[in-house]
Amino acid sequence: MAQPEEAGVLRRDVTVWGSFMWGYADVGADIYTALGLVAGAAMGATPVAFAVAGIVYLLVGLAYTELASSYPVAGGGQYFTLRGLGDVWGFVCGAALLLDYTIDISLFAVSSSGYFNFFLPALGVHIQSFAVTIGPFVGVNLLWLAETLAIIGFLVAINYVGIRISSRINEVLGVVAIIGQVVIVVFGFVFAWDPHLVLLQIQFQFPTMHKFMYGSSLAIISFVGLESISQVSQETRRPATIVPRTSISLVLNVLIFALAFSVLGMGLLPWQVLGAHPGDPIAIVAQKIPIIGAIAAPMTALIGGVIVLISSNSGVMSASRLTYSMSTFHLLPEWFSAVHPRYHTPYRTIIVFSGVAVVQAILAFLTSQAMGTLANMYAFGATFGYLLVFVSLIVLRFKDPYTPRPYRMPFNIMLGRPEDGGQRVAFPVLAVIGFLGVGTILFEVILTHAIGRIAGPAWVLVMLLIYYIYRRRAGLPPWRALPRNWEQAQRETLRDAEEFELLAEYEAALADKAAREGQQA
Amino acid sequence: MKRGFALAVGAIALMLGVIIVGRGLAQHGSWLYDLIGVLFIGLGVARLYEARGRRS
Repeated sequence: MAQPEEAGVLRRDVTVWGSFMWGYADVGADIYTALGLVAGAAMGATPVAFAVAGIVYLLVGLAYTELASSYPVAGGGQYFTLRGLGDVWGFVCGAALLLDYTIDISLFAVSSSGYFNFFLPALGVHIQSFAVTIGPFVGVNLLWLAETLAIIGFLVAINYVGIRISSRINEVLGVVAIIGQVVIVVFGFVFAWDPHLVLLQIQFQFPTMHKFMYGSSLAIISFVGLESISQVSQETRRPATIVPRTSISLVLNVLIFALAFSVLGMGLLPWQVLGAHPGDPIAIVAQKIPIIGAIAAPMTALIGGVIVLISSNSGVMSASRLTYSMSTFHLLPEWFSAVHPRYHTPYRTIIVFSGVAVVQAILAFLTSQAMGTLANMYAFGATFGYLLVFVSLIVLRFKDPYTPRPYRMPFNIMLGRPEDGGQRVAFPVLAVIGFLGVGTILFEVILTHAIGRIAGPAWVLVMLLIYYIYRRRAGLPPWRALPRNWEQAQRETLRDAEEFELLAEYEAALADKAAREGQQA
Repeated sequence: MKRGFALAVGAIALMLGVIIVGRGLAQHGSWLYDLIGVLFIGLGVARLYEARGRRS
């Protein structure tokens, strides 16, 4: 895949399967990380927590499908918000998503090490024996921290010199992971699943409302990553056709497996066991399955470790794409998108944001639960970014009703009267419901995540300060949007994507608009 | 999108059918259990077959 700094010549060579696997590498790996964390918080109500977060995620998925197929440009949520709400909110959304990408790097590096640690007992090594007390910090696991830093270092090195995990490896691993998931789900439900255990846990181990809110807001992290399809839509062939297909398939795939694993896990093991293994929960579930457990558990740990590693790598790459997009629109200094003279990679972005991930990992390991701490901030960044995306979708329906939407969120109320010279606007009811749903999860995050509610907004504020200083120094208005010719940009995007039918439809809509404005004048 | 929908429904029904029949066989469930499983498998295969001929 082409580098972001080559955006002027980004080739559209990503196919349906490539687009799906690009998203899967990011969002498909989330359940490998989330199950243990959510079980530890939502206790017996773990499947309910996943279902609540899953409904919200479904709506987020539909919103991204509409926006990514209508505006197939690298930048994702940040670009949609920029178009809908202007520069400041576009920047704020970009900052929230950038926080998520840095957490993506650190959290999934921790999780990847967790899956590889599954093999340590076979070597006579127990990870818990490496936990030490450093001053006021109790239970700092030095081995796990060293492994995490080594993984981040490895990812920085391969991205710095431009070695890519090829699309082919990505696709093969994705297929292996999906087959592995199907085998575990089918064998688990057939041979080991006990529905009584699920019901007993829901009935007698239901958490307090505070813990349930914490659990359901953590469950949202098992669905984060749809951004990737938007990020890569500028490199996707015929995005108007492909993006809706891959996006909806991915949404369904991830939702089904997240619900299946949570129900299966609670029917195989008490929640306490899953909660005690935040590093390798799916391998623990696989281990419990009779007949295939002895083979499936190490295979799952291996596949989980690698797929989560790829997810961590996608954080490094997506951060550079997003930063590039932000600097293109004068939201961040061009300094960030400088290209290495020898390797032709965005080395400054890679070093700066991977460095942030290193700091996050070290600080997280100083708390009693490293993964929980990182997941706290991950949930904040995702829900805050998604909230702005929903607002942008609604605003864009009014501000830009002319852009053809190959996919439109269902359930719309038609407003406006063309016979009176007005433009018909489809008001998206589901987007309002999605906004309320994400708003509720964000409220839960702020209410229950002691670290997320401080660190998340603090990150956005620090980034906002950088934005303010940059815009002042560059002689640009800090709080006003720069004038941009979005119509021309949309024409160029559709032409570049070879979506000529949509381009003709767009031109016709603009001509109609011009005619109406002429009549009114 | 119709083809994708048929594919998704087919795959889910097939997986559910295999799980239900498998549980029936593995845990000596009743004939009704197996029948429901077989119906799901039939539905899944039919939807997948239907999806072959559809265009999105």
